[in-house]
Amino acid sequence: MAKKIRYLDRNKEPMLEPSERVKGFREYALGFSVGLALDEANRCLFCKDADQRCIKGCPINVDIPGFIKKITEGDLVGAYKKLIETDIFPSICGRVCPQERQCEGSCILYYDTVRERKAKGLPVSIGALEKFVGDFIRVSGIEIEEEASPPTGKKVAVIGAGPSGLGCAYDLAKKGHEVHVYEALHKAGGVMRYGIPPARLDREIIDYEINRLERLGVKFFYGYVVGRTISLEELREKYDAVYISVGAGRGKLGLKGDHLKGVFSAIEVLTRVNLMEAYRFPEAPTPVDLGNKVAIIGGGFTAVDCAITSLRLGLETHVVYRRTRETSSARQEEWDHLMEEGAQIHWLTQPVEVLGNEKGEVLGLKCIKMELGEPDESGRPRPVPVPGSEHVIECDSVIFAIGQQANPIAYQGLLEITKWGTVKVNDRYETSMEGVFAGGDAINGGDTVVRSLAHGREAAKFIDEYLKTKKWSFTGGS
Amino acid sequence: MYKVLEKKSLTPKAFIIEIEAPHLTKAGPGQFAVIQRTLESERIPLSILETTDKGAKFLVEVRGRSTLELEVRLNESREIAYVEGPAGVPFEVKNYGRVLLLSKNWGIAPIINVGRALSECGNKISAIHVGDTSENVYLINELESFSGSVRVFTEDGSVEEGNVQLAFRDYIDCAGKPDLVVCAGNNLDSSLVVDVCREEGISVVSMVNTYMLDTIGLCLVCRLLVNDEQKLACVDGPWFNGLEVNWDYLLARENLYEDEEKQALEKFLKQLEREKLRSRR
Ligand SMILES: Cc1cc2nc3c(=O)[nH]c(=O)nc-3n(C[C@H](O)[C@H](O)[C@H](O)COP(=O)(O)OP(=O)(O)OC[C@H]3O[C@@H](n4cnc5c(N)ncnc54)[C@H](O)[C@@H]3O)c2cc1C
Ligand code: SF4
Ligand code: FES
Repeated sequence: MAKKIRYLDRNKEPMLEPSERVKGFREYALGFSVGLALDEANRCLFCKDADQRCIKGCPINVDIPGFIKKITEGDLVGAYKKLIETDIFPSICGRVCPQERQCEGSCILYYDTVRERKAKGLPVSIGALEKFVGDFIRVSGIEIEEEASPPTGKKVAVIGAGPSGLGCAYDLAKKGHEVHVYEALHKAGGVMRYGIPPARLDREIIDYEINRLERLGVKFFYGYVVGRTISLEELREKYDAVYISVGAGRGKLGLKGDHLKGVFSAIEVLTRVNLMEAYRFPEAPTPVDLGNKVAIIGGGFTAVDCAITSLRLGLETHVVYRRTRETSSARQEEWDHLMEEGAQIHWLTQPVEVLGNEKGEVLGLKCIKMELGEPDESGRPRPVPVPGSEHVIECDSVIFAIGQQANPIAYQGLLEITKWGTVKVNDRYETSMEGVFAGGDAINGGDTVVRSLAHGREAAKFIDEYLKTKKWSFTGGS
Repeated sequence: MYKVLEKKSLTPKAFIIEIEAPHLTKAGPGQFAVIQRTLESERIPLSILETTDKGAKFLVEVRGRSTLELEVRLNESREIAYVEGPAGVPFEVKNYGRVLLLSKNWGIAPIINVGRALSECGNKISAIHVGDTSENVYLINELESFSGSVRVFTEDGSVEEGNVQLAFRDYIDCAGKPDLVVCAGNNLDSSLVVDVCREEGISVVSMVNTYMLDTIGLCLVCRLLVNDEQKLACVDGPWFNGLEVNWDYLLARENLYEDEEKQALEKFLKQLEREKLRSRR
């Protein structure tokens, strides 16, 4: 009998209740049980042309029907092995990827990418399944042997321990090269460690993945600010190749009144709370002070994470975004979660000034309402101000979550850069200095964990080739 | 883990530590480091007092919870989990001519580090150090080892009474204008020194004090305006042309976490008292 297509009965991951969620920083998405995972896996049609569908939608091209098939066969170790052929951090990506715009957005049950038309159902919960497999292996304590090739005698330095650097280090170590990761901060993980709140990504998972890398022989050096502690040239001399994965993590401000004491970059607030655990202050020594009401400017991942954070600190939380929900780059369901948790979201609202007093305290955020006008160059309707709609959102602090910019200290003055200050590379991740490669946010100015990871792994392939052939093809210009 | 090779008390409020950290041995004058005693501790930026064969020496003035905790806990275990650095841009060392060093409290540490390099490069050095009280007067011998003249004051009058601005004016009256003033330790004092320099047409390089968090240019908490442009104390500083710094901006952003700091200190003091009780039992 032909298998009945289960268009609509998509299983949802169990969640903590909103009232429970805001009480603390523990994860609120509880993950599939074995039963739910098996049932959900059975919804997959194992499309023959999946490489034109979900696999193509995935930035790192996970063999999606391949790993889901293994789940249905009850072979979770096999499913894990299949996953880490491409995505070495399934527990992380299953949690933080915007699947609706990637694999799940191209699942045949939901959207027919070949015929380019909407289908009638809901996609397979690919992200939740991926998370399930990664979590199952981690929690079960099953050790999956990850063998490194015999030592090649070559040494590579990786600068920055975010997803891109970790991905690159993993592959190079497996190929038998000696890998040293130089990280400025005291813990590895990059944005995953200091940006994304533990409510979305438990820190134990990052620790587990770092441990896997250490077992493969990767060495981490913390407290090295490349460009200050040690120069890129020095590293280049000491190593056979260098991979730059310093991200693009510098915060951004830019509004009248942004000097006031109550004005913060998103990165500052997130670092205080998520890296330094300021939510435990004064038990933890690093404080955070946002007052009672906070206004968060922005509409992407970062704004969502700031709102998750401020709600859990017990604050009245406003999010102010000049465009509409549909244009936000964050996961759509996150907005629902935030509203359930009590956040007030002001769509189509443009902040114009932070108002404060003599003492440098914030009194409010002056805003103007927007409406959708003619489409701009990207084809999206351009928001235009509504005359006479100025108003003030009263608040004690304002957080700028309007994106990051390049932090060039590792390569300033040494490498060719783009007009955004990111490192210029060719399609082999080669920079203008022979033997020096770059990837992740450092070359594209801010994207996703999975794409940064993909860069790291692809770059590792070219680094390996370079170590063998010493051929260099960067010509610059373009 | 990094070893603390030496810990020496200077006054009840200040001590010196030498940390074994190979990456600090080549630090330039005026650079700093960031330490965390454990990975859960606050990140404390400390000016490098002196580099050694094995690492670097720092002066720590006990001001709040984190410095007090360092003082107390280092007596129990001589280990530090994390040492970042050298951080910041080194002071530009060249022959300026007659240089006057002005330090307030712990500012004497970076001042000694920079002053020594300036003296080795042929500058003629004079120095003035001002402490809040005599407990903030230390390392004067070191200062004297490369300075032609050194004067010391305290604001409470326990040593000769004086403040930075008056001492500076007095110096100009007696010795004439220096070619360069270098000052460190406190924004308010530095801003007053800069006012005098502006009036008198003297060049001045000052170390700015800001909160710091990541110290690699990400969080912007250490932002300031230099020539109306945003700069970061952690990666562009800590030394700037004092005449170009917008001191009002810096002063307005001071004391951001004053209440929290008080709370944290009280909490830690209570904990110490409890520990004492326990050990008596
Ligand atoms: C708040 C926030 C939330 C996000 N949420 C998501 C999400 O849910 N899903 C998603 O897919 N993406 C998300 N992103 C984007 C994603 O985090 C980034 O695209 C990704 O982390 C980039 O990886 P990377 O390795 O290139 O750089 P990073 O993660 O930025 O790592 C760079 C590392 O280099 C270190 N470093 C920097 N300079 C130096 C130096 N000079 N010397 C030594 N070390 C240095 C840094 O300390 C850091 O550890 C989010 C971003 C932010 C800011
Ligand atoms: S497109 Fe959807 S149904 Fe088809 S293989 Fe991928 S996940 Fe399964
Ligand atoms: S301390 Fe964060 S940018 Fe300087």
